[in-house]
Amino acid sequence: MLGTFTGITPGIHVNTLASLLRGFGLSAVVLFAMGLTHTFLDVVPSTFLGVPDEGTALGVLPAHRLVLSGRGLEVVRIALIASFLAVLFFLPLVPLYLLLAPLYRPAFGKLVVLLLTLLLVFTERGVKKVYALFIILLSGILGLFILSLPLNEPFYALFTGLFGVPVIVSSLLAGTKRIEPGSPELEIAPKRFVIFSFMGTLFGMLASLLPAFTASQAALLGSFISRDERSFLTIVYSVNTANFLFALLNFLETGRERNGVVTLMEPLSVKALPAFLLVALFVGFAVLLYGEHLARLLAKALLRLPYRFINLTVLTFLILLALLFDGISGLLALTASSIVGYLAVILGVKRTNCMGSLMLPALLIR
Amino acid sequence: MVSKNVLIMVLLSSLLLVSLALSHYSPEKDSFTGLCVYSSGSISVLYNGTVTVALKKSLEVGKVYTVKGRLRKTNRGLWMDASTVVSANATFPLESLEGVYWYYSNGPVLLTPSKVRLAYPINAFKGSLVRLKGLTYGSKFYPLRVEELGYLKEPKNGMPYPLEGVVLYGGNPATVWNGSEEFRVYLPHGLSLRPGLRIRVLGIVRLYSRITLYVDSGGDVNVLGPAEGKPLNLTQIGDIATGECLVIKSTTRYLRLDCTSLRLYGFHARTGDTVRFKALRRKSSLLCLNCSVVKPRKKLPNGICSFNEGSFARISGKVTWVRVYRNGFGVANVTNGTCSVLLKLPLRLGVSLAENESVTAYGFFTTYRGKPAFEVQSGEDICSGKHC
Repeated sequence: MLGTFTGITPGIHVNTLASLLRGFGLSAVVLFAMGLTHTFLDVVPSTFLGVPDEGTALGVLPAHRLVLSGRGLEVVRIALIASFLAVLFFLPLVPLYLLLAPLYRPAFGKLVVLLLTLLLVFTERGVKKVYALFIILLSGILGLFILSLPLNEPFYALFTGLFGVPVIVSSLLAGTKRIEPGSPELEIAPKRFVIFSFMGTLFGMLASLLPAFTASQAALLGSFISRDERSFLTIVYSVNTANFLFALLNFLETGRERNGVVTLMEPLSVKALPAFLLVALFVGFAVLLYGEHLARLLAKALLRLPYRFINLTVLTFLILLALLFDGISGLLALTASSIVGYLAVILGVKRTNCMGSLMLPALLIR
Repeated sequence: MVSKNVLIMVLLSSLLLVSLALSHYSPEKDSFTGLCVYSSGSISVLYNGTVTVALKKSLEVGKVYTVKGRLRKTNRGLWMDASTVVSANATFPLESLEGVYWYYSNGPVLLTPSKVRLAYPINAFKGSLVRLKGLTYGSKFYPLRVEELGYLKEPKNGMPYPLEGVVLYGGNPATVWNGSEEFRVYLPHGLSLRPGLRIRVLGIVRLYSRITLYVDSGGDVNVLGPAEGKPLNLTQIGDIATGECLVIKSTTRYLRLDCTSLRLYGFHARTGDTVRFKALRRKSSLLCLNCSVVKPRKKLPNGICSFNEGSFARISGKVTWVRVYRNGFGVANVTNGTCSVLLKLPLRLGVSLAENESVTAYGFFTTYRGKPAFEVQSGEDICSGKHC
């Protein structure tokens, strides 16, 4: 229930959820089920409201493009199935991961991030290479700055500003018309879907191994491989769920805390893994059953309201959330991030360059 | 195009203004000085005796650092997003411990005599008394300052003690004399010591009915050389006595010499032989280290004419008569020229003599019914025609 609530609520990341629940003394299995449910359902706000969190930031634009073309429910279905496939692919990868996790060295993570940065710049054309570099550096400095501030939810301000607010502002400025949720039928070949989901699972695994390498950066890697929105979204949502699952496995094997939810768990050994695997399968299957219906209900509810009103309401909600989390400093951080995100839109470079906000700190901070 | 550039400029200016406003919220840099008590990968933990702060830096355990940055509370304790890290002196109160430095296979300890586990080895000799200043974190003590106070003067139960002395009894356990007391020394498996060696061993003392020392490493056993050699009359326990003496009694286990009341073990010679010896002086005996017969007994002069009651001599002559009493005790009159002596032949000797037989005997002059007589210790000390 809690995972479903936070999943469909715009602007709440799984780590935010973890910090909100601190002090409730929930068991590790409950926390895990909640976090996993969240990773299945956070597609809803990022698709229909354009509000991402750290894991789905890069999915916002392609998802929004599909929403604007009336394929919103298809995005939800892609996300749900991709997440469920990630759960299935996770199972056979467990032994491999248990071998790899103890071998991790920080330098390796930095190397991957550096390569990714170079890839981002050099895949732009002409003068846009310079713009891309500018956005990477600007968002990187912003990331360093915001992460150094005493904010409770620095990632909320950073990612909502860089990826969420510009989408809503663009919609408001462009005056987007009423959007139908459309048919959930998948327009991607099943074989292709499975392949990209598996790739996403592997990237998610990589992201959970390397602390400097987040789920978003893993999805960014996927964006170079995928050629259309659907395959990209498949990767993004598989990465999101796989990253969560493998982070738990990393915690069980090495004690490393790769996401906010595991920091709330008492120390556990890898012997507890079978219980978590059962819960993962159960949660995955359950959310698969009701997730799409829930999204359809929400989409229909949103359809009854003027789109401009929805956007303004969501924007207000995001601003209020920033104020709630961190007061004026949170609002200022959200504003600064939004300006950088909007600059990327104006300069016409890939918004993925805004991931510099994590890549630069990852490269610079020891 | 112009409006786009203007918009970019406006946005950048706004960003600058917002950032300036935001910079007011930058926290004052917190500072923390603590001893690094844990470091693994890129995570380290500092501790100052009361507060523990974790940070994402690779630091050296056992060193004091001052870190500056943003200090924040997490559900696992305090965390610092450190921007600067410098080595520093300890400005926090340190605990003081005194004990003997020791290390086992699972790490160094301070024996007080209870075991205080040390987080890392210190710059001190194993077994030396030290005064440490540092902090206790978890189950370990993290020493920062080390003051060596020498070694323990007296053995204390449960404490290491450096024993220097001479091995009186070899093997394992060995018995070592330190000049005033005997120690039973248990050595590591496979090690043993030879008697007569001057050694230095380091082990843990156990005070049972006798002082026992347990040595746990071959490296703690040092052979300093042989014990000091002295003439027999000047020796004390643990010295090596040298001399040349006549064997006045020989058994399968020891020799009795004419120059000392101490028995000489570890060498065999016959009564009457003169032996040169180099022997370890034990509490009430001598242990032969290097002994040899320098003058065999057959080279002794015939002392049949030099009767002196109680003195040792070799007598040689002819048996003129033999008398054997009912109880088996016999007497043989041995004559050489004008000198004669009664040779006592107790039954235990298992020797019988006949008239006119030549005989040589090694023993002491005595009297028998007021007449000069001669007695021997064993049958081997009588040589006659049939045996010697």
